[in-house]
Amino acid sequence: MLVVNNLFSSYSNELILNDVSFNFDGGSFLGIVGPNGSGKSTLLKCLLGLKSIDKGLVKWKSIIPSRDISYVPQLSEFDWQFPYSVYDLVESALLTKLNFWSFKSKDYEERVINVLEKFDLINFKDNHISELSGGQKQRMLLARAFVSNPKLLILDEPFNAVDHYSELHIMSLLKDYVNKGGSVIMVHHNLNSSIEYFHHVLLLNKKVIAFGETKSVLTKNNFEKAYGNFFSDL
Amino acid sequence: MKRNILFLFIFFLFVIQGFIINKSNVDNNPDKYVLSTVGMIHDIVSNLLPSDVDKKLLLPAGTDPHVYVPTIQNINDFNNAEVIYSIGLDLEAQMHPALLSLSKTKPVYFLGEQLDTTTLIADGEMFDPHVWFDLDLFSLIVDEVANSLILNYPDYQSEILTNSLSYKQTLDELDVYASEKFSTLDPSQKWIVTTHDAFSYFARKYDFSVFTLKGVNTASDYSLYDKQKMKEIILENSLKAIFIEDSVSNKDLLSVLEDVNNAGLSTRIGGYLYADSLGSSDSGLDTFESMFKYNVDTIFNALN
Amino acid sequence: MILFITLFLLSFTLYLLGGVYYFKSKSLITDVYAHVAFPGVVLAYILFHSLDLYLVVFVTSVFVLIVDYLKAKLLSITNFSTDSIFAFFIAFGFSIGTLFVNFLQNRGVSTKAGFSDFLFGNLSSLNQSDSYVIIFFSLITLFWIFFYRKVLLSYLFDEFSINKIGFNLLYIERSLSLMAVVLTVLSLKVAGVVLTTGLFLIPFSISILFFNKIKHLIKFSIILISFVSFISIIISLNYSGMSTGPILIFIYFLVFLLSLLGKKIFNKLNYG
Repeated sequence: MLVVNNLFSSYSNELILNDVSFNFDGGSFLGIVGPNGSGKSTLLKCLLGLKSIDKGLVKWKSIIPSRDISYVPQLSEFDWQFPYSVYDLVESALLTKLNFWSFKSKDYEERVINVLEKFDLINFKDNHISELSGGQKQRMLLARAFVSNPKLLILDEPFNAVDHYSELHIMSLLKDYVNKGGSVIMVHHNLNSSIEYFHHVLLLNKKVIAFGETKSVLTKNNFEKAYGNFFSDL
Repeated sequence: MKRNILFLFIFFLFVIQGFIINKSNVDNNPDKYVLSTVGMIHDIVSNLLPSDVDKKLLLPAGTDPHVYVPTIQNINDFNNAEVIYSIGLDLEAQMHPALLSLSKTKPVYFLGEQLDTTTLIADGEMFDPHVWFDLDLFSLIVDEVANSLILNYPDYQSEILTNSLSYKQTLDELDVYASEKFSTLDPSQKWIVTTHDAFSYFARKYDFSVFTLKGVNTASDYSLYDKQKMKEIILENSLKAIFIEDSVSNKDLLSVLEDVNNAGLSTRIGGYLYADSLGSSDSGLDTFESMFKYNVDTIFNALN
Repeated sequence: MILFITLFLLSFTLYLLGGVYYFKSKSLITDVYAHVAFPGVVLAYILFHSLDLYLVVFVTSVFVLIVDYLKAKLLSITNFSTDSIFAFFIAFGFSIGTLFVNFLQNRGVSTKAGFSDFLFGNLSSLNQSDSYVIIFFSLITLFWIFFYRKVLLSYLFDEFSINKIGFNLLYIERSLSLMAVVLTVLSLKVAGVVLTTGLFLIPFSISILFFNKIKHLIKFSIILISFVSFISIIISLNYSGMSTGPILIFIYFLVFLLSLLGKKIFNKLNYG
């Protein structure tokens, strides 16, 4: 599904990604973990073409990013005062170049309602998006991501500002999605839950510290390399 | 330490060079002249003083003195002039501070401000500066110029006196010409409708009414009320013509005319009037006499 | 009546564009366009000796779009913040415009051309053909916004979603810039260089105080803009020597202050 070779990317002459390489075959969870400022969000943006690459290659196989990928940025990247209702926001994912001027399809209406029910948001469909809690907002963004039936979900720290119950709920929906053939790439900050959530992990600190199956990556030795003396002092 | 000294030295050089250039500009320039801000005064000075004395006009023909901002070249003109004449009364509003400052070191005359204020037309707390359109007042200005020229160029006293009498004779003849012509006009047509209020003295002298979009100063604003009032006056009096001016934008007046014509009246543009300056040299109207006569003929022909 | 329709349509279009820039956190761009448009207006006169509005729109828009491109280039090659670059171009625009006017002034042209109409704005100076030009471009812009309304909302909330829809992000952004530039040039005649940005921002700022749904924002804006346009025209019809640009902005600002106060009092009464 995804091949990344020798990827370099920088902001204002500061190198953020230094020779990053990895493969992802799809059909599972890939977690991207690392300390703050390690380039995790930047890597996601480079994969999606939202940020320029200085050097290297990002290659998608049997997937068309604009059609098959749904991206869920961090909650803080949105203006929650924007005049959208929950329904409008989820429905906006169904816009295409062919239907944008009219967009009154009953089929679309059913799809939106179904996904709102699945994500337990049906009672809030006419609410303004600012009226939701952190967990509800995250579920709403996921609902938006799901409604277009993507092959791959790319999530940037989806459990920030989310309570434990919501996190479990979201994870069960994502597991269900992966079991039905979907793929998930997720930036995550909690090392403990990473062991439980991900099949594969990319441990990043501007360069690849380790990549592979979760248990083989999340070792004390690798943590020390990524996080420094913090872990050796524990 | 050495860098700081170098910096201070370079800074000192910059400061000094300004003074050196300024001094050289003033001292090394041998040309001295009588400077007039507007063409109407320049015409008086040119007629009164013999050709031995240089005369210079600051504002070219067609320039609006109300909003004109002096350039560096103009400041040099001021500095090199021996005597400066202006109308004052806020006509050359942007230049006034510079002229006031210069009056401490050389003769600067604000001719309009020498007139008896009871003869001037009030404009709010100020006075309308367009005094040249009342030939009686303009004649008094000729006397002011003559007296001050004699003071500054005493060698030319007799020529100045002779020339001023001749000039005033011309003004008297112009006055008679205008009076006789306008006496034949239908009183209901005696309206000067134009862009800015430069003709109040003219109107007072020859018994016209005036309505303008803008006030005495061309920089003033006008509202829909003013536009509406202008339309009403034109329609009520079935005016044959309104007038556009040489030195200001006339687009607004043209839009009023469009509305009036759409309402069924065949009012037309009666012609250009010279308000705040004389004509250019190629127009043949670059003397006060020709400009004034042209204005009289234009108004008469349009409203007759 | 035609003046009211002109003012309403122009204001409503500026309101919508103002909303776009509000959500893109680029409200100051409208001030940049207004100040850079000023030299464009004078340039139109230098080139064609005419200030007919359709000509001014064409020349000035080309000029502003060139400067807009330079601005974007500067932003990409320097570390300066957007605010700093905007401030630079605001000063640049006005200084170049003033220099152009001085150039013409020394040739006895300046006030003859009528630049003060664009500097300070005056609805009273619009003739019928000016009104038609403004109505025409306002309607085109409104049609574009209506046609692409869902795409626009998606773009404003989440830029990445535009790629998913299959639209070119550059097309959306350049279309918005072009419309904003043209509407800015037109609004110079009504509000002038300095106050045009107020027409973009203040009505939208008032609306967003009370409403957070599109339908309510639109309905409220229609009432607000009609009311302010009507009052401005009434004042201009009844008082001599008052240009409409400052009247418009003053009334909008008054409404904004009263709205803020009203909201504070309402919240205090209801929530303690």
